[in-house]
Amino acid sequence: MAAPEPETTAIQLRATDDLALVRRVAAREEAALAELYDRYATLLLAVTRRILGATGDAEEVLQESFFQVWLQADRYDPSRSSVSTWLVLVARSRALDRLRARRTRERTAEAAGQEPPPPEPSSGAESRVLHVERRRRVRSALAELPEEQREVLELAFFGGLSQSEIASRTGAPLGTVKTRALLGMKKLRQALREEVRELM
Amino acid sequence: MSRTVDPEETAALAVLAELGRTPGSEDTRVTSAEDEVEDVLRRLDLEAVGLLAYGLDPVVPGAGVRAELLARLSGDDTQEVAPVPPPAPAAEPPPVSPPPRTAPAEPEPAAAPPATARPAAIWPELAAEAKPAGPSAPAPAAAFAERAARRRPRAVWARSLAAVFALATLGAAGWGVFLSSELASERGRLARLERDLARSREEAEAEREALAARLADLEQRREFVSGPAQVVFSLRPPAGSPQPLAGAKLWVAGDHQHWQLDAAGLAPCPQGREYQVWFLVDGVPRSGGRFRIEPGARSGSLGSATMPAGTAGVSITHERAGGVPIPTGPVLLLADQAVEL
Repeated sequence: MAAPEPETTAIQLRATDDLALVRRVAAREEAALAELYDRYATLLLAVTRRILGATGDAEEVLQESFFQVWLQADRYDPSRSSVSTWLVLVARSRALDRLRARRTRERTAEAAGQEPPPPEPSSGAESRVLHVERRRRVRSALAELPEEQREVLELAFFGGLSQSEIASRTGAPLGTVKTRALLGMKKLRQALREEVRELM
Repeated sequence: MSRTVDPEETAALAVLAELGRTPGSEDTRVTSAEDEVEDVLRRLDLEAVGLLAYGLDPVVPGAGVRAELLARLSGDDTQEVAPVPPPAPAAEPPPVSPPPRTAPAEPEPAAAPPATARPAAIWPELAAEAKPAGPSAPAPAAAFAERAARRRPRAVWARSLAAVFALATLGAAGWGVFLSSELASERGRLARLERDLARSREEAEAEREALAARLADLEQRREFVSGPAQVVFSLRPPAGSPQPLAGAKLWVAGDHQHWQLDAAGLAPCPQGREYQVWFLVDGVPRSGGRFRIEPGARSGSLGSATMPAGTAGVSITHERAGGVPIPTGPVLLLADQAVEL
C-alpha cells in the first residue's frame, strides 16, 4: 500500500533569496550587491576584524571582498556551498591575504591566529534576527566543544593555518592535532546540523 | 592490510586541508571529493565551519565603506553614492495652488468712470439737472448746475466706495470657491489615504499569516532535526535529466519514518502537473507524495511521518496533478544511497 499523500507545501527559503541575489549580482545589478552588503556586511566585518584586528584594514578588506563578489558572482556554484558560507570564505581569504602581506612588510613576530583585540560592539541595532539567532546557536555549539578542539578549528579557520602549522604553534603532535580537528569538526557539524540544513 | 577509508574522515580532512591552503581558493571546490557520499559530507563540514563566523560579535562598518563600494561599481571611485533609496511613493497630483489673495480671476468689473463722466443710467437726475436750461429760465438752470458741480466730489467718493465693495465681494466669492476646491481636494486625499491604510492592513495581515505559517514550518523542522540520528538522500539529476540544474535533499529522522524533502532549482509546475516523490524499495517505486513549485518560487518542500521499510533510494518525476500509481515521466532527480549523519 502506498504511503499516505502528505500535505503539499511550498516555501521560500532565505538561502534561496540569497541565491537569487547572487544571480542578480552576476547580472550586474548594483542594487542586488547593495542588498547583499546590507545583509552580510556586519558578519563579514566581524570575520575580517577577527583576523586583522581593529584596524582600518578590516574595512578595506570588507570592501575588497564585496568587490570580488561583484566581479566573480557568476562563478558561484550553489552545489558547493551556501551563499553565506561562500561570502564568509571570500572575506576570510582576503583578510588572510592582507595579514600575510602585512607580516611580510612589517616582519613582525605576530603569529597567525593570535587573539586579536576584542571587536567593538555593534553601534546599531542588529537588523537581522536570523543572524542573532544563528549566533546564539553557534556560540552554544562552540561552548560544547572541548577547548583544544575549538582552538584547532579556530586556528585553521581564522588563522588560515595548516595542521602542521597548528602542531608547531600549539606544541601538540601532528597526529593529535589531526584527531582534535576531526573530532571537533564532527561535533560541530552535529551540534549545528539544523543550521547546516538551513544553509543547504 | 590496508586501512578502510572512512568517507567522513576523508571529507573532513579535505575541508581542513582547504582551510590551510593559500587564500584565493574560496570557490570551495575540493578535488578529493570523488563520490556522492563524500561530497555531501564535505558540504556538511564546510557549512559547519563557515558557521564559525556567526560566533563572532557583528561589527557595523562605517557608512563610507558602502558608499565607496557602490561608487566603485560604477567605475568612479571619487563619486559618493547614496544608500539605495526606498521605492518612490506613488506620484501625488500636483498641489492646488491658492489663488492670489487679491482680486480673483473673475470678470473685471466695469472700470470706475472718470470723475467727469456721468452715464445717464446711473446719474439720471444729475443729467437732468445739468441739462442747459432754455432762455426762459436761465437763473434756476445755473443754480442747478452750480449745485451739481458742488456735488461731484461726493459722487466720486461714493463710486470708489462702491467699486471697493464690489471688489471685496468678488474676492470673498473667489476665496470661497478656492476653499471649496481645497476642501474637495483634501477630502479626496483623505479617502485615498483611508483606502491605502485598509490595503496596508490587509497586506500586513497576509504577511503576518505567512510569517506565522513559516514559523510553524520551521518549528516542525527544528523538532524533526532534533532527533538522535538521521540519514540524508542527496538527489541529483541523472544523466540526460531535462532539469540538470535541480537538486534536492531528503532528510530522514532516526525513527526512519519521519522525512522532509527540500528541493531547489526545479522548474515551476504548469497547470495540471505536479512533482511526485518515489521511494525505491527493492527497485520498485512507491509514491511518497506530491508537491508543486509555484510560478516565481525557486524551492519546494514536502514532509511526512511515514516511509516504507527498506527504502534504499528516492527519485522525483513530473506527473499529472493528483499523482499516478507508477512513474510515467522521466526521472528528474535520483538518489540511490543514503548518507548517515
